[in-house]
Amino acid sequence: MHIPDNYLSPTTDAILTVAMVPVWVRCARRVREDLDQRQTSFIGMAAAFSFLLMMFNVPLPGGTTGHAVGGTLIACLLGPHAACLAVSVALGIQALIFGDGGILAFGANCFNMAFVLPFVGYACYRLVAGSEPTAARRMVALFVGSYVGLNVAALCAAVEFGVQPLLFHDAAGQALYCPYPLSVSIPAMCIPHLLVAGVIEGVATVAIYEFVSRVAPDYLVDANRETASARGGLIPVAVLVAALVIATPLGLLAEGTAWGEWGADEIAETGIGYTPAGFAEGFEWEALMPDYTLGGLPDAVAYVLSAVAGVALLVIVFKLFSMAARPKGSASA
Amino acid sequence: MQLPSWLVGHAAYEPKHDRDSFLRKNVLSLASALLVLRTEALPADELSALDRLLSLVAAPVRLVSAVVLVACVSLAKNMAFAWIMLALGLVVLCLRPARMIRPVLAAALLAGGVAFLVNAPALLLGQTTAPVRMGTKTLVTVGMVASIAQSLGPDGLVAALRGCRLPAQVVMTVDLALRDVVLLGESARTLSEALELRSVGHDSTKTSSAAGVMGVTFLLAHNKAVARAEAMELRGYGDGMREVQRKAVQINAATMVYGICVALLVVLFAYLEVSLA
Repeated sequence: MHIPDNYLSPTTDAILTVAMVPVWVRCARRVREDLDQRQTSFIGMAAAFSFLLMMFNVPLPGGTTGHAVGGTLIACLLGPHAACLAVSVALGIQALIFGDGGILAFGANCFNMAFVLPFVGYACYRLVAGSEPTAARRMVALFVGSYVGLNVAALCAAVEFGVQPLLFHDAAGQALYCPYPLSVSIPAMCIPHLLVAGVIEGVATVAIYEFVSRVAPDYLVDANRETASARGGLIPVAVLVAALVIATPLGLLAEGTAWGEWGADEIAETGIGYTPAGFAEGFEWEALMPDYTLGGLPDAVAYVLSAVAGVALLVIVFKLFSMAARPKGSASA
Repeated sequence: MQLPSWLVGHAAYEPKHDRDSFLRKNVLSLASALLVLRTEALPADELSALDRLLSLVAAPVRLVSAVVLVACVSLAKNMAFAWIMLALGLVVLCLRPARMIRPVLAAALLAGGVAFLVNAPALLLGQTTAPVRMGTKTLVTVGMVASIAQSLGPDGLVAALRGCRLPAQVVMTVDLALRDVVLLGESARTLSEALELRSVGHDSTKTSSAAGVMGVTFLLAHNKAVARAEAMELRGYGDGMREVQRKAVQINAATMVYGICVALLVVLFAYLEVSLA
């Protein structure tokens, strides 16, 4: 679901980026008000789950690949505002350092995966869970919330793709950016997410949430009453993160490019017969480790190295962010 | 007692707005940067688990290892080793508390940014990778040095230098310099804050005043050096430091494991240089 550069027009990119600015500001303020220092620092670990889930590519119907995002997971752990910031920073690191997702399309990617996904997912979770859910009901709510959140985000991405040929085309009618209309983009994005990626998102969300709520319940914002007073530690969470880091090369087994992430040299071979002008003359960013590879190192080693660097960066960013948060135990202003 | 009229009268003075960002961002931050080298070490319970383990490793071994790894990163022709060291450095840093992360990251990013800018003209010559390579290598090496300096602390650094069999005079000079740099930093910061407080309204001479703060700091450094030399002369150290009997470096299990890890990194460096040449 990472939209690369040149798939969306600069106008679309600008509108979605501008739309995200007040969202980011609001989320940063709410995180400072609602979370204490420990929980703010914990956002880094939660963001690490999202970053790692996005590295586990799975094969989808049609020969493409997809991945879970984990936005609803973070929303259920620490609130949707924290989830928005966490996924935004993860997407920023992926775009700048690993070339996964565009730089100009950063606003659009954040709109879909950092705003729509966690907020919609969390709302569905609260709707299904109710006020005091049983353990089984909570698990169902987590699955449904994350499944719906991911699919709504995929639908948003599909719409953003599909309106490009309608709005931006040359005199000959050829699309300047994404060449696939809504009639193609919506089924191409939504069907694989409905059938496969959404299920994986749901399963991953339930599994990780249950694990974290068992080992570190006092870090959660929305903990149920039985576990809220129990103290936990982060070592088991860190061990899980480390295990996921080591397992990331499994994401290399899924071959094929995700739908809507073809490069300029691949797009003409997808059946449209031409390369849109926006691709040929558009913006290009040279990432430090493009596609999580490093010149000369085996792909699996580079993938693990990328995961290590990404996770460490996220933890550092949110630890620094937590310096501005209120200490643990103090009331919010 | 009747107060004079000038005292009870309403003073309708609104000082003109003046930009003092130069004072805050340049002079104060430069002076405060020296305070990073504080003499007090963090209490053990504030250290990360990794730093507590590393404190068991002999300080001279850590210092020499840092020098070796900095040399490897600097000499690397292929960027793979630099990226591996960057990833390892980030892992060590992310385990520390936030207030330990900030100064190391600030120093590394600043140095890396300066290196990038200095090499940026290479972009005009078509060398698009040169600024990134230099910036990244500088970021990694400065980060490593700052991280180990923070982890060892001034006392640990001096102990490491002593363990490396450097002449006593060199060790003492470094020891005194580390302590005096902190004092100079504190005095420069105090002077700069006083200057800032006294800069009410528009002050056209604030830049020269800020230069005066740096000048006073240098004078203070000179006076301290002269005073210390005289004190040492009075105490019989005028002819140089006596060599004291040094203890052998303790090679415990932690030091051996650390040494093996560093050796493996050096082997990895050699392998990457040969295989990716």
